[in-house]
Amino acid sequence: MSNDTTRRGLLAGALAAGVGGLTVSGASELLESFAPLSGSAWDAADRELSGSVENPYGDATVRYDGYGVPTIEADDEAAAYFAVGYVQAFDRAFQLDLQRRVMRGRLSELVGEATLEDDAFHVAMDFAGAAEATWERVADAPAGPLVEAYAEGVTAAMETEQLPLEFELLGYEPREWTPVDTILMEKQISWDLTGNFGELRRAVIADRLGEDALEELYPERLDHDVPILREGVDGERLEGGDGGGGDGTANSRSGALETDAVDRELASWLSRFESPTGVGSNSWVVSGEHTDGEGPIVAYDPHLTLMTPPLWYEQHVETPETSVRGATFPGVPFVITGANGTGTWSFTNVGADVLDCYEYEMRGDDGSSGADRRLTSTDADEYRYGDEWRAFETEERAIPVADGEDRTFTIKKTVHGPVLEREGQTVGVAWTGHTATRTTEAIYEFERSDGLGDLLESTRKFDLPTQNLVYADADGRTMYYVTGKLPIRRIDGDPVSGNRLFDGSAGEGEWSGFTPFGESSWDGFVPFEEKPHAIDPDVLVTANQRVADDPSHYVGVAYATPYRGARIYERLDERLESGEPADHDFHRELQDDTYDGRAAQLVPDLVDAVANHDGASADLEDAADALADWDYRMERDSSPALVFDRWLESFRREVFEPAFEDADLDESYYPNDWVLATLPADSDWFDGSRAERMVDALEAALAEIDGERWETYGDRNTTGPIEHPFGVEAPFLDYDDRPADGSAATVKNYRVDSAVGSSWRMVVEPGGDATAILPGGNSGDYFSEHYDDQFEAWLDGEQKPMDRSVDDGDPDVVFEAANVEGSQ
Amino acid sequence: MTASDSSAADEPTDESERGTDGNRNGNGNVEPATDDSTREENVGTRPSDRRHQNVLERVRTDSTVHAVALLAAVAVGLALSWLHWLGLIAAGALVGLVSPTTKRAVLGGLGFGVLVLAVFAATLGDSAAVAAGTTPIVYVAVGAALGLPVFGSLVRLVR
Repeated sequence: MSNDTTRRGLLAGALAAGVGGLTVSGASELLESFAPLSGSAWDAADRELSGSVENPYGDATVRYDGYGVPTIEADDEAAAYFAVGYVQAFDRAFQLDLQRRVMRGRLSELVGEATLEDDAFHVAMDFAGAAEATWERVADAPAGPLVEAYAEGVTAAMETEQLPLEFELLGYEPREWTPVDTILMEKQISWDLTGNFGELRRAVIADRLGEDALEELYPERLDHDVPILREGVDGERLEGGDGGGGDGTANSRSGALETDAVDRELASWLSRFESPTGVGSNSWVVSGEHTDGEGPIVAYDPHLTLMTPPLWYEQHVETPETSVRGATFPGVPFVITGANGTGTWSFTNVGADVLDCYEYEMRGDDGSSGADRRLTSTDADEYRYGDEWRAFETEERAIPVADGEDRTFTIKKTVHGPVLEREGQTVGVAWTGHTATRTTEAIYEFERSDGLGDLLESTRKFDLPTQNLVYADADGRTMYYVTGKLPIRRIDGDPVSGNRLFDGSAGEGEWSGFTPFGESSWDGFVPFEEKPHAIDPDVLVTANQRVADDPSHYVGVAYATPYRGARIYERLDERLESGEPADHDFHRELQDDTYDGRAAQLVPDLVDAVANHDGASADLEDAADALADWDYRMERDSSPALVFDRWLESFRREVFEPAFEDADLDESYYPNDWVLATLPADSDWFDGSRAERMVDALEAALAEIDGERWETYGDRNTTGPIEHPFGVEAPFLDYDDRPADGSAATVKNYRVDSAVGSSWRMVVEPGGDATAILPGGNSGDYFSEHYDDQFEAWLDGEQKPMDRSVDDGDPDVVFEAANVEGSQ
Repeated sequence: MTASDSSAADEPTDESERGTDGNRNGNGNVEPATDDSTREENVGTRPSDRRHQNVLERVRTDSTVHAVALLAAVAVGLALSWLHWLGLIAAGALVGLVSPTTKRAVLGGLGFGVLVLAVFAATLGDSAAVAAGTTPIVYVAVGAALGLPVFGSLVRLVR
């Protein structure tokens, strides 16, 4: 054989090897997804909603407006909600599937072992079981068939339409959507708002730092005078309730710890699954007497997790029964907050205590372990309840794991609810969401409500979550009501607060009328009329601050600091006293307010501390001068705002880190900024001198700013943390990284460290003008022009119209009634 | 078809390539190569192989035939590329096989890649600009479009 033939043979072999290598290596998967022309991912680049869709429930049309908000019109409600499901699935299919995976504990099936602990928690809590119990009840209610129609619409779109990019990237297709999945979304948002293991953290702090520190740093009541139902808030109360007058029983026994100390591991682990830090909201109502129109105005912006795409989805539904537009969570058919032809409704979080933890004596089924509290739920078979030993109710549940071995998890439950275990510490958990709730029915009825009377009746069914409902209607009526069921706990017959661990074996603090994973009578809970409320208040502000100074019953202690509430009340008071109308523009401008009350509390003292500090450097003096001239507004182009932001974090660390670090408590255990700002100057926490700690913190802050080369607040306070779930792997899916205004304490709320902020802004005059904005866009399709078309406007505090008019133009989608054989 | 493809059929300009792969005849066309390796191949192969070899040489040297063959290669290559990413390699190989020189083959493969990107952008329509921002996955698309046909075109070194 000649040299040339050999050369050619070798070349041919090399080429063949190259092709073979590409085919069998990881490159093959990449190429199958992303090669030009044949790559499956690119199928998602030119998705287009079908112009004609068969609808088993009847005719309907869909028209998208200039912001990708669908108007669904139908003569039959079920036909309309099939179409709602269809368009929601087209616009947000991946978000829908991801959320239910989280709640069902099926994330690891997609992403592998990294999310196994998350799945284990969600399986242990059996949210799916709670959703099933709820669906059994909702199915027979008028909303039930509409939820079914909606679920069918979601499934039809998932099966018929091209799936969005995320499915192509991950290489899977979603399963059928069920009504229980929709109910799971109700459980998810309720958990995000009320899932709070604060009593466990309090127990850890008491154990590590002592009871005195607990009382000083974590007071059950912050010292301020702007509760929601502040002095001067008028409004009537329902017969049988005083709406917050107080009967002295709310805290008749404090939350003193009588049980074993809680292990930090359990509290820290569970805190991963609680409400994200900073979750809260603003809403306020001003009666028509103070606006320039005919009626009252409601302004609302919920501060929830900011993400790509947004948590909320805007939709407009027109049926003979209602005309409603507003925001809902993808996966939920009905408008959760918005307006119909008569009224507008909004919700902020109460901070109510609707979750309790119980400890038990436990043993193996042979009784060999006796009353060993350290036995974990994993090992124990029985727990003592009263005078008898009861077997845990158990159920095996599989957790599939991608590229790994599937796991089997044993769910254990007591009479109170599911059992959670970590590092040898075990608690039983009772949460009001663990029973059949009627919130879906309530929201459906809100859509169809015709004035305050209707809405008030429907609010009785709003079992979960505990929210500050703010409502106004076109008749000029206004209302504030705490929704959700509030448990009453008793020990030896006396009412007690819930921010403590209870002895489950002794039956302490049990909720009468509560049946976990079944249907509850609620007969031992706070009666509807006795919950905090005000009918026809003139002006009322909710910003997650304390509901009332002396409520009739214990509500909770997880209230926000009062900075936002105080600022909004202050601005409204000023406006009303000036005689200027509180019109739409005023409310939108107030939502954009960046004044930080923490700065007003602390900066004057900081400036004084620097002035009185011997040997202060020129940099310190310059920074103090800039802070002295500052207007306390956390705006992106402000240098003093940057200095204050970094100084506050440094000051917090200066004050608390030494003692907390010694106690092995990380910064997540630090007290809130109101406590820090109001600690007396001679407090031991300042280790000698508050002024010195302030100056030290300023030096550290300036060093950090210099090191990071930041110049203005917007250099640090950016939208970068607003991420897509796969933003790390595919960063193009994230929104742009832009400088942002606002802080944790400003009305224009943005928390860069936890990616929480104004997740929806709306200003509505019932029956009149309405505007709203999303932090991103209405579509979750990266290739859609509506993926991020509201993002800049949201950053700048602008809003777009949210009217309920219907275009005359041709529909984007025509849903046609299926033939008889195909109909249901 | 790209400019480099069409010029490859008409007018090789590299003297060294001309000496290796073929000689210009009186009509300006390129005659079959007569270097030692080709002669050796012809001596040692069967008549049917020699016929194929002759056909291939004519495709490479006759400008009209070459143009038709190149067009066919591009059309078939695009169709294959639509079906599977291996089609990009196959397309490059087809373009390479009809090229008169190795250099032309590589340029042809690259040209085919550019054509694929143009067709790809056209199929994406309004989303093309958005797709351009999908880093890093768009790098796979561009890399595959340019790299795989060039890789396939290297088959010209073999035959």
